Amino acid sequence: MHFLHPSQLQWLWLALLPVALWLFRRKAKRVPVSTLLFFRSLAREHQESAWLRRLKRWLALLLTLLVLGLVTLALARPYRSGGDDVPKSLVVLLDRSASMAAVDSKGHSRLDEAKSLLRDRLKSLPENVICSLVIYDAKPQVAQSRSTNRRELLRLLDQTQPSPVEDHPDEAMAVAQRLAALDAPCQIWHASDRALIMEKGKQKADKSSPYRFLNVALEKPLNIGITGFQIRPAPLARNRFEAFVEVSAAAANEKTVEATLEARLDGRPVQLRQMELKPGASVRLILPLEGGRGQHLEMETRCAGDVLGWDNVAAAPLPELKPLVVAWFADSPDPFVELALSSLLAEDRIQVLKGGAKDFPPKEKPDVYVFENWLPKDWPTDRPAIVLNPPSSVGPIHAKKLDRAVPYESTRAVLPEHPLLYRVASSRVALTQTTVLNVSDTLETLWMAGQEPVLAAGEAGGQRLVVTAFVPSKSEQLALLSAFPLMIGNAIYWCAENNESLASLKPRRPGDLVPMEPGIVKWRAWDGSKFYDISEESRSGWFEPRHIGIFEGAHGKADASLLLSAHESDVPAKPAPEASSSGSERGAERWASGGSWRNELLWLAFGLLLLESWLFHRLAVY
Amino acid sequence: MSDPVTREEIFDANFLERLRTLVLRLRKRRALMRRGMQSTPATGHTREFKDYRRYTANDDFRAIDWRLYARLEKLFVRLYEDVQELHVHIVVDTSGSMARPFPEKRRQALRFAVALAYLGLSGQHRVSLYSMNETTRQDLAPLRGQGNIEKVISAVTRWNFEGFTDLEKSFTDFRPNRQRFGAIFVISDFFGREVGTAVEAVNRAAGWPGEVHFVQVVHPWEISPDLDGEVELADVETGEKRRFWISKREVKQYTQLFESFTENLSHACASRRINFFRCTSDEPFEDRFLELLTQGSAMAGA
Repeated sequence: MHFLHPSQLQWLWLALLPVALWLFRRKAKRVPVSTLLFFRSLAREHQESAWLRRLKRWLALLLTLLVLGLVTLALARPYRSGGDDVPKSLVVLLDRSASMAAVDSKGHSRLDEAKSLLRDRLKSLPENVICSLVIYDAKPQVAQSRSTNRRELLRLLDQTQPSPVEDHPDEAMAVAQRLAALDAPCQIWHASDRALIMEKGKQKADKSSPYRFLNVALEKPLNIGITGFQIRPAPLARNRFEAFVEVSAAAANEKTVEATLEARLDGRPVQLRQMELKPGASVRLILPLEGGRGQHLEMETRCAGDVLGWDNVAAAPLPELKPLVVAWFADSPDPFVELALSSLLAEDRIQVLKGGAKDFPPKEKPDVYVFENWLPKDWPTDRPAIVLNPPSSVGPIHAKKLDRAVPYESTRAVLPEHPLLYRVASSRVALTQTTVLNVSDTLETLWMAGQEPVLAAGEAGGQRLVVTAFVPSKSEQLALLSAFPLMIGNAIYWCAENNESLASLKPRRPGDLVPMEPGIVKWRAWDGSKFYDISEESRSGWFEPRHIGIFEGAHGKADASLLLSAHESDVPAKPAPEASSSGSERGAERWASGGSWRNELLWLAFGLLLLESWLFHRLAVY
Repeated sequence: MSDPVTREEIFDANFLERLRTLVLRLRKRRALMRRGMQSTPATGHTREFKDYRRYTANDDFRAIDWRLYARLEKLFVRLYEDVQELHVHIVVDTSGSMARPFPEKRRQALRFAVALAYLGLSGQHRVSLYSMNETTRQDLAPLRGQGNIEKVISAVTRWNFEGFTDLEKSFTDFRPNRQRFGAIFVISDFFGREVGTAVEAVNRAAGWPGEVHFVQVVHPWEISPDLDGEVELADVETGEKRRFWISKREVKQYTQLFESFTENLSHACASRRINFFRCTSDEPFEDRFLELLTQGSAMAGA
C-alpha cells in the first residue's frame, strides 16, 4: 500500500493511550458489606461470567485500536496504483467553446459529456497524481495548477460552463505542454469535440507528454448557423438598410436540410426566407430592410433537429446614422461631380463641404477628402481620399495629365465585385480619359478603358484611395447615367467604411474588449433557445461581452455581440471507433484504474464504532 | 470470624461511672414523672408513700398516721409502693453483620446490652443475657445484684460475632419465663435473609410476655452507602459476592429501599405493641440510651 501523506502515520502513537488506559484501568473495588439484601434489588447487576467479562474487555480494546488505526490510515490517504506507467502528473485540457454547447437528444451538452467522462476517470486516478486543469475557449485559463486536491479539481470541472466563443486550442495546448514539462512523466487529456491537429512531423505525442484525446462530439450532429452578418444603410436610400446574412450548414450534416430565416424588427417579423442547405454549404442573402434609428433587428434561423442554438441568431441594433463629412476641394469643379455629391445630400447621410485650394487644410477634419483637378502639396494621410482627375503626382498618387483627352466608347470592369462597382452598370459606361494613371501595387484597377486604367482603388499605407482618370462632363454618356453618382457614392462609403460615421454595423464577438463607460450594462441576450434580459456591471473603462445578443451601456449606445464563427458552427461528428486505437486506450484505462482506500477505511471505522456502541453501550448505565 | 472484642474497646475507664450517673438521672426523672406510671395496684413495703386507707382491725397499728388522726380524729393507715421485680431479658445479635465490616455496630450494641444489664441489676431486677445468630442461646443464667455486672461484661467480651442471622428461628427458640413480668430487649440490625424476614419475625415476638423493645443498630454507611462505579460486594455473613454498577441513582434507590425496610419493621412492631428504636453507631450512646428508656419502659423506673 502506498500513502499520499505518510507523515500522518505518526498519529498511530495515539494507540498507546487506550493500551495504557487498559493496562492501568481501575479494577472493580471489592467492598465487604453487612448484607446484600438491599443491593439485590438494584437493576444494574452484572450477571455475566468472569471469562465473558474478560473477553469483552479484550474486544473493546481491540475495537478501539482498530478504529484509531483505520482513521490514521485514512488520514495518510492510502491509494492503490493501477499498474505500469503511472504518470507523475496529469494536465486536463477542457474545451468550453461554443460548439461544446451542442446538445444530444437527451439535452446533454458536449461539455456535460466531457465533464462526466473526466469525472469518472479522475475518480479512479491514484491520489498521488498531480493534476492541472486548463479550460479554454478563445484564451486558455489555468483553473488549477499542479495540485493533488482532487475535490477542488472536480468542483472546478462542475462549475465550468460553455461560452459562446470560438476556440483557439493551439494556445491552450502550448500552456498544457508547459505545465506537463514541469512534472514529467505527464499525460495530457484533451476533452473536446475536435481533435487538435498536430503539426506535420509531430503526429505522435511527445513521449514525455503523451496526449489523450477524449472525443465528446455527437455521432450524428445536425447544425446550421449564421456565420456572417452585416447591416449597412442602403446607399441613396433613406431609412433603408441592407442586411447581409450568411447561413452555413455543418459539413457533418448527414443530408440536405431545409431551414428558414426570419428577420424581425423590434420583434415584428419583416422578412422570411426558406432555403435548402447541403452539408458544408453556405447561403448568402441580402435582405432589404426599412427601419428607423434605434430599432433592433433579429435574424433567426430554424431547422428541425438543430443541435447548437447559439449560432441561430444574429441580433443587432440598426446603425445610427451620422452624416459623413466629405470635404470637396476642387479646382474648376465639374458640375456632374457637384450633381453626384448633391444627390447624396438628399439622404442626410453625407455632408459635403465645398472649398478650393485656399481652403485646404480645413479647420475641422472631414471623414473623406475629395480632390478634383487638384492635389495638395502636403498629402494628407489621416483620412481616405477620392482623387478625381489628378493633374500630377503627389504622395501615393501617380498621375500625369494628358494634353489631349482620349475618348473611349466603353469601359471594362476588371473587378466587378468590388464595392465601388456595386450596382454600377460598367458595361454601359463611355468616358473620356484625361489623365494617365500609374497604378501602384497597392491600388487595384477597377475600370479599364482600352489598355489604360481609368478607375483604381486600394490602400496605400493604411489610407484608402480612389483615383479616377476621367472627367464626367467630357464623357459622352457618363453624365447621363446613374453609374457616376453611384460610383461616387460607393467610393465615399467604401473609403469611409472603417469610419464610425458610416454607421455600418460592427458586431463584436464574445470575448472581445469593448470600451465602455463604467456603469450598468443591459443585455437582450440569447441563450440558444430564447431571448432574456440580464444586467451586469462594467467597472473599468473596458467591457468584455460574454453573451450573444444586444447590449447597451450606461451612455445609451447599443451594440451587438455575435458568434459568427464558421468554425464553431461546423459542429463535428464523432468518427467511428478504430480498432487500432483500442490498444492505447486500454493502456490509458489500465493505469488509471488505481484509486483511494480512504473512503473504505473511513466507512470501516464508522462500522466498527457502531459495532462497539451496540456491543457495549446499548445497555447504558446512565 | 471476627476477633473477640476486648473490654477496652467497648468500655473505657469511665464507662461504668457514666452508667451510674445515667442510672441516677433515670431515677430523678422517675421522681418527676406522674405517680403510678410504672407501679402496680398492689401496695408493699417500700419507702415510697403511695396513699391513705381507713384503719381496720387487721392492719398494723404502726402504720397509723397519728398526725392525720389529730387533725381529723379518725384513724387512717399509710400505704407504700410495692414495685414488682422485673426479669430483664437482653438478646444481642452476634451474627457476622454486627461486627463486620463496621465494628462500631458491635460496640454500640454491646454498650446498650451492658447498660441495660447494669440498669436492671442496680434496680434489683433479674437480668438474663442471650446471644442470637442462627438461633438464640442463653449465655448467662438470671443474675441479681449490681455486683454481677462484671459477669455480664465478661460474658459479652467473650462473644464471637459470626454466622448469619436467622430471625425466625432465633425468635422461635427464644422462650422467656412467663412467671415474672419481663422487659425484653432485642439488640440487632435485623438484616435477615430476605427483606421481609424481619417483619415476619415480629409476629413471633408478639407473644412474648412483658414489654418488648427492638433496638436496631446500624452504621450510617448501611443507610446511604458511599459507592460509585463498578464494585464487587461481598456479604460478610454468607460470603456471597456480586458485581454491580453503582451510580448516584442506584445509591438513591438503595437508600429508599433501606428506609422502606426500616419503616415497615417499625409499623409491624407498632402493630404488635413492640417498641422499635433505631440508633446508628456514630450517635452518642448516653443520649440515645436515655431516649430508649423514656419511650415507656419499666426499666426507666428501676
